[in-house]
Parts: sequence; structure tokens; C-alpha cells
Amino acid sequence: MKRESIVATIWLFIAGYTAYASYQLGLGAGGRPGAGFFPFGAALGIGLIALLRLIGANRDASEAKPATRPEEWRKIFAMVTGMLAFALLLDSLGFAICTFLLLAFYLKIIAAQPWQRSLIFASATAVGAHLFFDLLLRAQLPRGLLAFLT
Amino acid sequence: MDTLNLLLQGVLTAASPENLFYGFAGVLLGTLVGVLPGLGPAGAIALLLPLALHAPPLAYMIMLFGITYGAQYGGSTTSILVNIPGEASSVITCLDGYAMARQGRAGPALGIAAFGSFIGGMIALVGLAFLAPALAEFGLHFGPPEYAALMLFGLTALVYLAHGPMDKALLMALVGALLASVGLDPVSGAPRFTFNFLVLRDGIGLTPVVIGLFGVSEVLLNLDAKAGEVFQDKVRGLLPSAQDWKESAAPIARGSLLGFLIGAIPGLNVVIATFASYALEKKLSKHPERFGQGAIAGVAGPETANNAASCSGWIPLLSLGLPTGSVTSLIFGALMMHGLAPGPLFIQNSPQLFWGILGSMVLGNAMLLILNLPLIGLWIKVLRLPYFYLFPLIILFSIIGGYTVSGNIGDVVIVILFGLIGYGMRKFAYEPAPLVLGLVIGPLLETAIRRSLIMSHGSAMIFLNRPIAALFVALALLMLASPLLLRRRLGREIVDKLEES
Repeated sequence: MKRESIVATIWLFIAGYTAYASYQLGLGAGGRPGAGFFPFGAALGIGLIALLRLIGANRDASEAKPATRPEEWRKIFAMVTGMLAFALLLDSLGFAICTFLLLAFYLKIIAAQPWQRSLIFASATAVGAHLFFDLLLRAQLPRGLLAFLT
Repeated sequence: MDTLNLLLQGVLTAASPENLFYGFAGVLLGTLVGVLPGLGPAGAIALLLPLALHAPPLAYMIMLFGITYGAQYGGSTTSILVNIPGEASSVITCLDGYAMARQGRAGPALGIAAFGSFIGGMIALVGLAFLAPALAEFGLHFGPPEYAALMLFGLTALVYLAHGPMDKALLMALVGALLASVGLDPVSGAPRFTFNFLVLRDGIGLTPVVIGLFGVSEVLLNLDAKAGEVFQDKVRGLLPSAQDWKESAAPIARGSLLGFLIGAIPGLNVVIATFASYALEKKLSKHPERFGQGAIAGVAGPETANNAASCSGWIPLLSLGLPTGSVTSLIFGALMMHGLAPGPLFIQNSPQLFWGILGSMVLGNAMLLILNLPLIGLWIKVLRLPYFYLFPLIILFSIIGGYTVSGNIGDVVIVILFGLIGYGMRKFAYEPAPLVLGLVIGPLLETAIRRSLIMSHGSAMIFLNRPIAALFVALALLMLASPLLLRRRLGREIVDKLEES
């Protein structure tokens, strides 16, 4: 099955589910459209286009960019893991420490930079970001382990 | 005369120290993202949306507008010096701009691009000041059916001129409208598609979605990007000579007019203005063979047209509340975050904001002209900055941007999710702009359609019985049907042919 066909099938499933869920919400009657009226219309449109694309998928497969290489997947996985870890640890470790860890991880693992450069860049950015967001903009960012400094 | 007085008042408002500071930050940041690969003005605005919660409305809007036209300047710089257009609107500048740079004439090319942009921006601004209030006056007569039809027309126009396949763009607009349905129903209050997640009860926020689509996905796509090969010679002699001015005067005048007219039409964008200007100048030139070999008219015309079009491109948004692209959709969202409803009443209800924004464009364009030429050395250094220093910072700003909207980790997860979705979309040639527009105008469109149907007791004929609504519906249908009837999309065809050549 070609990649375009797979994507069109996914859209078709999404459209089918949302059309069903919208119908359950109520389409309305007697000139009073219900909560499901608008999403039902959007789902029908998505379904129709997906169906047409599924039929003509072989015709325009060249539109898509080349498939992601294994090396790219590895970097994307590392990137997303870093972001998720940042989100999960933000409250407990605090913004400054999370920033340091994230940047050191990205520079060392994804950009394959030497340890020294990675740590200097991560430290400088963590301090700069703390000064900019926390002290200058007064954004409400968690301080975590460094809360005792305030 | 009144209009010019109001514009002058706007300039004075924009000249307050606070507004000047935000304006300066905006144009500087805009130029920076115009120069940098992998982050355009939409991405920069997306990352700055959370700042709306802290900054004063006018100063904040001045900064966002500054980013948009600052990026045009930055994009031209990279086109001329590196042969890499920072923005799509500077693609055509590469042809003659880079050729001029290779002949040792980078200075005059950068100079005429800056002066042309300034003149085009100023002429378009005066046009905007006169046209937008008149159009808003006309829009005051709109009822829900006219609004619904107008929004459908705007959405269709964006889909029609999308870079990729039209059906994919339409699908994205519908997905955006569907995402806009998540949360509580605006009429009955019933929860829709929330799956019992608290973070979804208030709907999917614009900020985390656009940060994911424009910030994170760009990084995921550009992970292997390398710093550009930068033009090595020292750039000197930025002021164009008398001969340069003689050859550029008419292209600048024509580019201003052409850019203004094309930019003001919803759906026709800045890129088309630049290609149309280039084609016109080549056709009118006594030496068309010089185009592509370093003709200064090939830089002056398109560079003027892109700034004029980007300025008049605000007319549909500021007068009728009709966003026509990703950047205008984001500005629309930013205005909504400040509790300001863009639409025909916007100018009437928020005159200080409207004229202040216009006034800031005068100052911002002047700032760019004064600042940019001496700062070219700095931009060249920025161009040499390796991408591995940039992407962690973009990701960090994305996470902070998502988090500070509500202080909720759930929004950071939405940023990551839409980063991955945006990556997949780009890999399969689905454009994010129609999705964002669908998400932004979805709630307004739904309300307008439902109100119209209540007015007509359920008859869809209300969209055809009222002349203005019928006109917009007819135009939208014509755009959707034209590829089937003509086997091509008119505006896109012109761009494709010129891009190929």
C-alpha cells in the first residue's frame, strides 16, 4: 500500500469517527442547528476528500517528500524524548535545571558536539533564560530544586 | 485630510518610548528570523503569542507587525548575499540580486532593496489608511449570512492559492475547523470531543497548536541543516548610484502600485506580487536579456512589490476581520487574546489601536531603512551561525511558549503533538496555514452559520437570497470549481511557471 493511500485511509477513519460522534451530539432540527451540526459538516468534507484521494492516490504519490531516514528518526525520537522529559520534570527540578539538562542533551546527543562545548552552551543559556524569563519578564516558571534561592 | 491627520496621530502614538521599544524589538526580531533559516515570521509570532498575556495591546501588536515587515527585509538580505531566500517573497530577488553580488555590486543591490521596500511600504500604507476604513464602513452592513459567506470565501481563497495540492489544503482547512469544535459548544454548552480531558474543555488553544506546527516541526525538518555558504567579499557602497536610481525609479513606482493592488485582494499573496512585478519589468525593459544577469530593476521592482503587498495584505483583516494567511491568522488570534474582535467594528471601536499600528509601520519602515544597512555585517555573522546552536533555543522557546499560556503541562504536550503532526504534514505536502485559518475562524464561522440558519428557520437559501452573501458564495464556488473547469489554478500557474523559469 502506497504512503499516500495509508494517509488517505487514516483521514477516512478520522472523518468516519468524528461524523459518528457529531451525529451523537445532535445535528439539530427545525431551524436550530445542534452541537454536532458544524463538526458533522467538517467531517463529511474531510471524508469526501479522503475518499477522492484514496481513489487517486497512485496518481500523485510524487507530491510527498522522501521518507524519513533511520538516522532522522533517531534524532526526532531524541528530540521529542527531551521535550517530554522537560515537561515531566519541570515542576520537580525547576526551569533552570531542566533548561540546562535539555540543552546539554540536545547538543551532545543530537548535534554530536564535544562535552565541553555542550556544557558551556547549556550553562550559559540556562542562566540567560532564567534572567530573561524569570527576572525580567517575571514569567511564572517553576523553580523546583532551586526554590531555596528566592 | 482627516485620514492623514489620523495617520499622523497614529505616528505620534507609536512614537511613545514604550511603543518605540516594542517596535524596535519587532523589526529587529523580524529581520533576524528573515535572515535565519528554519524559522519564519509565523514561527516567531507563534513563539511570542504567550507574551500577549503580559504586554500592553498596542505595544504588543506593534511588535508583531514589526516582525512581519522586518522579515521581508531580512529575507532580501539572504537572497542577495547567499542566494537563499529567507522568505518565499524574496525568491525572485535571488535571480538578479545574487548576480549583482557576484559582480561586486552587493551594496547597491541591498541599498535599492531597502529603499524600494521603504517607498513601497509607505505608498501602500497611505492606501491602507484610506481604503481600510471605507471597506470597514461597507462591512458594517453585514449580517450573519454575509459574515459566514465572507469567511468561507477567505478560507477558499487561501486554499485556492496554497502551494501544494488544493484538495490537501481544503482538507487541512476542514481539519482546522474540526479542531475548533473541540471544547464546549458555544450555544448549548455541551462538551464536544473532550474525551474527559480537562485541558480540552476550553478547546484546543491557538498558541500551542501554532508553536507546534511552525516552531517545533520546522526544527524537526531542519535537523540536518548546515549554515549557508555566505558571500565572502566585504559589502561596500550601499547607496545606489544616480544611474541605479534612474533604472530603478519606474520599477519602484510600478512595484508599489502592483504590490498594493495584489496584496489587497484576499488570497493573492506577496509571492505573486513579486513574480508579477518581475515579469512586468522584464516585459517593459529595453534590455530583457539583462534580467537574471544582475539587472537592478529585477531587484527594485519585486522588493518594492513585496513590501507594498505585505502592507496592503492587512486590509482584509483590519477592515473586515478576514485573515488571509498563516501570519494574518496569528495576528487575528493575538487580537482575540486581548479581547479585541477584528472585524468591521474594529476601526470604530479601537481607533487608537488601528491608527497606532499604522503609525508604527511608518516608524518601523524608517527604522529598518536606517538600521539595516549598517547592520548587514551582523546579519552576515548570524548567517554563519551553525544550526546546532539555534535549534535547541527554538525548542526551548517553544516549550516555554506552550507552558506560559496556562501554566499547564498539558499545553506543552499539545505543542509536542502538533510538532509531530506538523512534521508529518510537511512530509506529505499538507500545508499548515489553512489548518491555522480553519482553527482561528472555525468558531466564528460556526456561530455565523448557525445564526443564519436560525434566522432562516433552517433554510440554506439565506446564503443565496442576500446579494452580498451570494456574491461571496459564488466567488468561493468559482475558485473551488476553476481547477476542474480550466484544468489549472490561475494564480498558482503563473507562480509555478516563473519558479520553473
